[in-house]
Parts: sequence; structure tokens; C-alpha cells
Amino acid sequence: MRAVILAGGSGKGLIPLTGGKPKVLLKVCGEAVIERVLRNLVSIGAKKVTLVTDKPSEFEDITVRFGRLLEFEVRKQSSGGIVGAMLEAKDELSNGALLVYGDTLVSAEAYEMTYVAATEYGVPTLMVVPEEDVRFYGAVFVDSRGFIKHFKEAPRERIEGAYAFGGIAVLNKELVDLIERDESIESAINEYVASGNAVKTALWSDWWVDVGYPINLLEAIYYVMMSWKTMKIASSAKIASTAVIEGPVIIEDDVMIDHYAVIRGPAYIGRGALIGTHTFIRPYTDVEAEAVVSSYSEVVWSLIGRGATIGRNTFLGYSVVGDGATVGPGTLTKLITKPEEVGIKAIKVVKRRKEWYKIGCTVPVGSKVPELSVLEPGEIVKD
Amino acid sequence: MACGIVGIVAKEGVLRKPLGRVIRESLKKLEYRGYDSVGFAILTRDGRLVVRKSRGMIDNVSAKLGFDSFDGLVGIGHTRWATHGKPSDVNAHPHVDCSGTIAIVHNGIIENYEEIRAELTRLGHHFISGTDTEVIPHLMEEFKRQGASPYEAFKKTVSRLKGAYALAVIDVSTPDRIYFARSTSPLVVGLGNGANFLASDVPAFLEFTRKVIVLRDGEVGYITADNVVVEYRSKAGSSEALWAPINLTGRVRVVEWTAEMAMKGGYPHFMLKEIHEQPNALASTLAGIEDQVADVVKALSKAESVVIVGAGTSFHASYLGSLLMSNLARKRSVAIISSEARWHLRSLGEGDVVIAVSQSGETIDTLLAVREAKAAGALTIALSNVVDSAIPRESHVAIYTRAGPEIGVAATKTFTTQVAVLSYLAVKVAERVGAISSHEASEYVAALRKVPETAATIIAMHEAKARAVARRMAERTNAFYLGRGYSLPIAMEGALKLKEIAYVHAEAYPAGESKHGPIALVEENFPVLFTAVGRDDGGMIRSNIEEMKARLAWTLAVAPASLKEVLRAVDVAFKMPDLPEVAAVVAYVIPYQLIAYYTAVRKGHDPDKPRNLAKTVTVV
Repeated sequence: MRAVILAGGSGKGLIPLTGGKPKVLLKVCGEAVIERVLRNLVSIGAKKVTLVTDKPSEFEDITVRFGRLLEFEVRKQSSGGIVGAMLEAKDELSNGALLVYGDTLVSAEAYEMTYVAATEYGVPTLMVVPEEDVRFYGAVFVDSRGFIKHFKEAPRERIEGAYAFGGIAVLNKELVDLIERDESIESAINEYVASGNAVKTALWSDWWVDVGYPINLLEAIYYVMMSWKTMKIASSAKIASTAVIEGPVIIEDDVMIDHYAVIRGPAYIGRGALIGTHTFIRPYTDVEAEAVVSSYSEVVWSLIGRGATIGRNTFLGYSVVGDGATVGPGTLTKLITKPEEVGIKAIKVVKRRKEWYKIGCTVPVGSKVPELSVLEPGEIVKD
Repeated sequence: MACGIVGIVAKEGVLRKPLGRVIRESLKKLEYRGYDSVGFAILTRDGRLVVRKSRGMIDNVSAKLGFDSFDGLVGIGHTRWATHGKPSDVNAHPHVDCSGTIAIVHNGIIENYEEIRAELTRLGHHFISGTDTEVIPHLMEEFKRQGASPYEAFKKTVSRLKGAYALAVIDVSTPDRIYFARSTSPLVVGLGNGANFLASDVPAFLEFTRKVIVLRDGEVGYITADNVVVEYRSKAGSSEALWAPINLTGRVRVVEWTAEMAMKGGYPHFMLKEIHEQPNALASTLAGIEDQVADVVKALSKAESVVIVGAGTSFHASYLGSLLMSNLARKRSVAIISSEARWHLRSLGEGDVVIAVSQSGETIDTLLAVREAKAAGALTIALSNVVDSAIPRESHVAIYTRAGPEIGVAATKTFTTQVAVLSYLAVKVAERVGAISSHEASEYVAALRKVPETAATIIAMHEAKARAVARRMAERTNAFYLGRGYSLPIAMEGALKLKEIAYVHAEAYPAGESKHGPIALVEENFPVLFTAVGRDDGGMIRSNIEEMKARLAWTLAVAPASLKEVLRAVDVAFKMPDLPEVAAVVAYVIPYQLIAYYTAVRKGHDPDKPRNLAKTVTVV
């Protein structure tokens, strides 16, 4: 089986965190998004992967690492957008290769389900997900036999009765030719269907994350950690005798955890990271390699990027801190927002019968937050 | 319709076991497509065409007819799921022509068979079965008699057929090949080493090869042990059709998945597939239901009382049936759980009717109840999804839901189709006894006829919301499902689904009864799901909702759009289309099926294989 991964784009919504690099290289729990995609492909028996990107050199490392498991062909994307990237792999897609958006995280079974349905029915197939809000994805209207009636790319308003396109598909030559001619997936699919051809859907029911904004990284952490059942502590980690570690926690090599720190899992502490004394790491926290969380701090459901530093006495919640950034001591993130706040996507939390919408801030790569800052919900910190 | 076909052509020594056994094992893998009758045709090494077929499950028939002892190099097989016409030895496939030299297996429906059959009968062909399929071998025989070569004759035959079909054909005069054709019904070719295969679905031959070609509509050809020929018929149609050979390079796929994944057809679980199959299952059940139930309606109209028995989900369908019989048809009616039935049935006698509801037709408690009812002198009517299973066989009359095989342990499409049949019966009986006018009756029947479409809309409109609700439900350990009247059995079914696959303790209660005890359990965040099928008489549901909200419960409702106040009062509203009650009782359960399914998935449980449960309960 062959696959095509669209790995281009640094992602508008993620530029503060990518610093212009491809967003599929962002790491969650020590592993880049694209590595999870590749592992899925290996597990369902993919042999060859065509990777389309505008920055081929960024992927050298990964293609070497997966080289023993997969045959790679990296192609440079010459024209922009998803359509441009797809046409770069026109030959493979015309031949029925599995198309995967590299920024989509989902379990391998979803890939398999889509590929199997396409082969079984012998027609192009799109994976769809029941999402209440399809605005950020494609809206797929499905008939009672599971075939597509109509497709609408990134609709402006909320649509009832439509499924979200899940970024995994199998196409065929006719459909790829239409996409090339129309330079649009929407009009190609609609025209293909209108002329009497069938496009099947494969319906995915479990978790699925499209990594487009910092909040999606928090969702990804949640789903990745949800499946953890056991604790894993590397033998070279130094853990103080009075530190408390509970629940499924992964602690990598050379981590140092100081006295009286509490780590309540699920949580991930990357290689060489340091957790200061009296620091409280709460569930769904991902501390990447070489990061430092100084003493007396509290962190909940956040991603702390590689080599970032969180100053002492800081409260950080529902936030994403870019690689190498510094958050000054005594900084406080405010979390509570309202769903109607324009432009802020938040995580819905239900406590005491009330729904709370919570989101912290985004600290860009390499930036510095001054000490004693108070950061607003949804704020992207300016350097 | 769902049937399974296979075809195998092998070279000497390639299969390493008798061909009869290979066919049996392949058919077994297609059992999910149907299993009420089975048969094969094998071309033996001495050139004879052996056909063996019978009604019954694959294992029983093959043991009875000794499938495994037949050997040869060319063979076809069929496993059938009768939807129209009884399963019988004669109607089982393969079918042969007059000379017994052409054998055929078919999945699908030939729409113009009556016309072809009349024409062939005039030409002297003799038909022995009542199937549409039998015209195919005779038509091919006729074209051969007119001088066409076997392949030409086959292509001419296919050009005459209208409808859906996947065909595999053996002709003794060309003993090295199997002819095939596909239109709408699925058919795939498997490319083996020294053997080639045909099947309705890939799992049939996964043991021998993983290289497949998925045939497309309108394609015709043949397989030999080392070759595949495919031609395409231009859409011009008619017997003058032109045939063009197809280049197969690029069409070969290597499958690397398990048989189970292939059977799920684009869904992660059978249960979700079956929830989505409901519109089609309902349409198929309601098509031709008049003829199926005409006598039953007469009998029910004359009955003194109607007792409906069932177990599990079938009991909930029975309960709805008895409410409809009592309210709509003014017929004294009660629903009883099968295992409890014997304490009730002894009082019955002539003039009473017992309807036994069982998906599998094998549920032992329900079967025992049927025997008890017969002994007491009552007329027994079976309602089942499996043609000719034990309960239909032992009952005086049998009616069938046509939901197709259900693999997920949690019943979904068989529940809605059971309710559709019972609702239809109640309307017809009500009309016959004069409880409703014929105008009302035809309005109700029209609403029932629209239920498949309504079900499709409900699924599409509410699946995302059900998935969102499941996220929160997965964190709860208890739930109440409340309803009054027709809504209560739906609430009970919703609670059962949540219990059996998501392992959330859920209890259904009459809404009016909830304050006589259960409400003591309600605390903050406790999920309470309200069902309202019809009008909210005097705002009773509304006041039940307020009671629960006062205790900080998390309230949800499945209610028609016209009950705006109910929908507005709850935290999560599933707004259903406004339907007459006879149709609403069929469709309103769908959001509960989806909530239970997504809660199970969210909690990481396999909804298809709930712990401690079996699909068919055959022990007391």
C-alpha cells in the first residue's frame, strides 16, 4: 500500500509556535505530529510514502529515521494550498494511494477503515467525522447509503446535518483530473458526484484532531495521554525522595525532579527536563525535552516547548509555550472566557453544573514574558 | 439484497484440500451476508456438473450433504438470505438450465425476469423454482441453442438483464473457466497462484490470496486458473451492446487487512454500520408488508386479546406494540417478558393471539413461551428477522422484518424494524375494527412509509450532537431515562443500550413515577433523559423536567419540534421531526442508539462485543 502525506505549510494559526517551520514537526509528548502519522502508516502496512512539502530539507531527519520501515519520496510543493500539494502527487493519488493530511491526528484504524472501504467499494472514499461545528473543515453531506451527496469546503456558517471531512481519503484518476482542472476539491467532488459517480464515506467515531491552532495541540495531548495506562520512568531520571508521582506519567532520561514536587498524571516530562521544588504538575501537562519548570509553580493542561523556562511561582494553565521561550517569575495566566468572545476557541469544562470555557495563552517561540505578568485568555504574547 | 457468492478455478494440486471444503469455508466467511440456504456446483474431474443445495445454515447443510467430500477444479457457491420468497431446497442456488450443464449463482434482483421467463416458457424451457435467478441459465442455454458460443451467449444474456446482479456461471462445455458479470451488487476477483477466485467480498478468499481486482458496474468476463478477462459494455444497452476489453494494469490491489475490517464497509464498528443501515432496513421491511401481514391483521382483528412476548430489546418492541394495540386499535393487549411469560399464559385460550418477537427466532425463553401459548390454545404469530428459524417454524404464522443480518450484539436496526411492523399491524387492525377511519389509517401508513427517510434525517442531524453528549456521559456512572406512554418503551430501550455497551448504570422509569422513589438518587450532574413522542399533556413532562432541574440534574430531551417548551427547558435538546405517534415510536430511539454507541467508544469499549453478552440467548 502507498500513501501521500501533505506536510506543507507552517499553518497560519500556529506561526507563533512553528517560527516558520512546517507545523507537522511540532512535538506532542516527545513525538512530532508527522511521526505519529508515519507510525500509523507503518502499522497498517504502508510500504511507500510520497511526502509533499514546501521545505523538503526539514524532513531529512525524519525520512532517515523511518527509512528502514518506509520507502520515501519527498517532493517539493511548487504551487500553494492543498490543491497545489495534491497535484504534486497527482500520479500517486490517481493510482489510489491513501491521501493523508499530515496535520491530522487520529488512530491508525481510521486510515485502515478508509482504505479498506475504498478498495471494497472500488470508488473514491473520504473519511468523515461527526463534528457539531464543521466551519473549519469541509462539510460533507451523506446519503442514507453512506455516499456523498454534496461537499462544501470550509463553510462560513454552522451547518446542521453535515459531517466534517477528516483529512484522509482515497481518490482516483477521474477525480484527480477534475481537481486539477477546477483547482478546487469542492467543485471537483460535486461535479464528479453530479455526473452519476459514487464517492463513499468512511465514518470515524473516535477522537480526531486537526492541528491548526494552539488549542488543537492541547486536545492532542489529551487524546494521546488518554490511552496511557502505566507509568514509565527512565532509569537515568533523578527523582527526589519526597517527590510525589501519581497516575500514568512518562519520565524520560536525565529528567530531574526536585523535592516536594507533585506530578499528577497523565503527564509527560521529556528528556533532561527539570521540575523544581514544590512545583505542582497537573494532568495533561506535556513538558518537552530540556525545559525547566522552576520552584513553586503550578502547571495544568499545558504544553511547554523544548528548552523553555517557566520562572518560579508561576501559574500556567491551558497554555502553549513555544520552544526556547521564557516565562518570567510570578506570571499568572487567566483562564475563564466566554464562548461568545470573538476569535477565541476555548476548552469546555463542566464543573458544578456550570459550563466553563477555559483557555490560557500562547507564548511564541524564543520570546520572553516579563516577570509578574498577567496573561489574558487567548492572548498571544508579543515579545 | 444481501447474499454471498463465490467462484473458484484452480490448477491441479494448488488448493491442497477438496474443492467442496474450500467453497464451504469461503461461504462461511460470507455468512454475515446471509445464511438461510446454501449450495454449490462443482465440475468434477470426469466432467460432470454436481449441484448440491439446501435450506439451512452453512454448517448444517454442508454436514448433511457432505460438501467436504466433493472435489474438482472449478466450482461456485452461494449463501442466501431470503427476503422475498421462502427459503427452500428448490429456491436455493445454484440454478441450472434444462440440460443441467449450465449452473449459476446470483446475488441481486432481476427486475424483468417475468417477461424473460414467459418468453422462454413459450420456447419450451422448463422452470422448477420460483426465483428470478432461474431465467439466467435458461436464457444462456437459449442463446447457445441459437448458435452462440458459451461466452457470446453469456454476454447476450447479461445484456438482456435489468436490475442488480453479481453472477458466477459454470458451463460444462468450457470446463476451464467461470463467467462473471457485475451490476450494482458487489463482486471482486482474487488473483491467486495457480488459482483465481470470485466473491461478493474479499474475506471469502483471503486465505489464498491478498491480490484483488474490484469489478465495476457493467463489467463482464471470465476467470481461468491463470487468467482474468474483463470486458465493459457500453451504456447503449440492449442486445446490440458493444463490448470492449478492459486493461487491468493498475486495477490490482493488495489487501493487507483483516476479514472483519472488510465486512464493516467504512465503519469502525458493526453497531455504527447497523445504526446507519436503518433507513434501508426499514424501507426493505415496509416494502411489500401488506401482503405479508394480510392474514395476521384478520386474525388480530378477531382476537379477544393480544399478548406480545419478547426478551431484551424485543420486549421493548413488544411493549410498544401492546400500547399501540390497546390505544390505537382498542384491543385488549399486554406485553410480557418471555422468561416471565409462563406465569401469565395459562389463562389464555382460543380466541387469544400471542405475538412472539425475536430477532434471531431462536431465543429460548420466547420459544418456550410460544409452546406454552400453543398448549393453552392460543394462535401464535412469530415476528423474526431470520426466515424459518425455530420460533417462526413452531408458530402458526410467521412475519418477518427484513433488516438483514445483524452482527453487533446490541440490537439497533432489528428494533426499529420490529417496531415498524408492530406499528403497521396496529394501524391495520385499528382500521379493520373501526377504531380509526380509513382516512386516518392511510395517513398513518403514509407516515410509516416515510419513516426510512425520516430515520436518515435524524441520523444526519443528530450524530454530531450525540457524540458531543457522549463525551460528558462517559464521565457519568448513572442515568435516568424517563417517559410516559409510548415514550416509556423508547426510554427503556435507550437505557438498555447505554447499560449493555457503555456500562453506565441506566434506569428507565415512567416519568410520572419518578418522584415516587428514584428522584432520591438525583443529584448535581445526574443525567436525566426525557422522551416525548406525542403531545405533552398538560405540561406533565415539562413539570418532570423542572423537578429534575431543581435537583441540578443534567437534563436532555428527545422530543418533536412542536414541543418547544420541552426542548427549551432542557440542557441538551434533540429536536425530532413532528410525526404521528405510529411513526415517531419507530424513529425516536435513534439518538439514544447513537449516544450509547459514542459513549462506549469514548470509554474505550468495543460496542460490538459487550462483556458477558451473547447475540442470541439460547439458554434458559
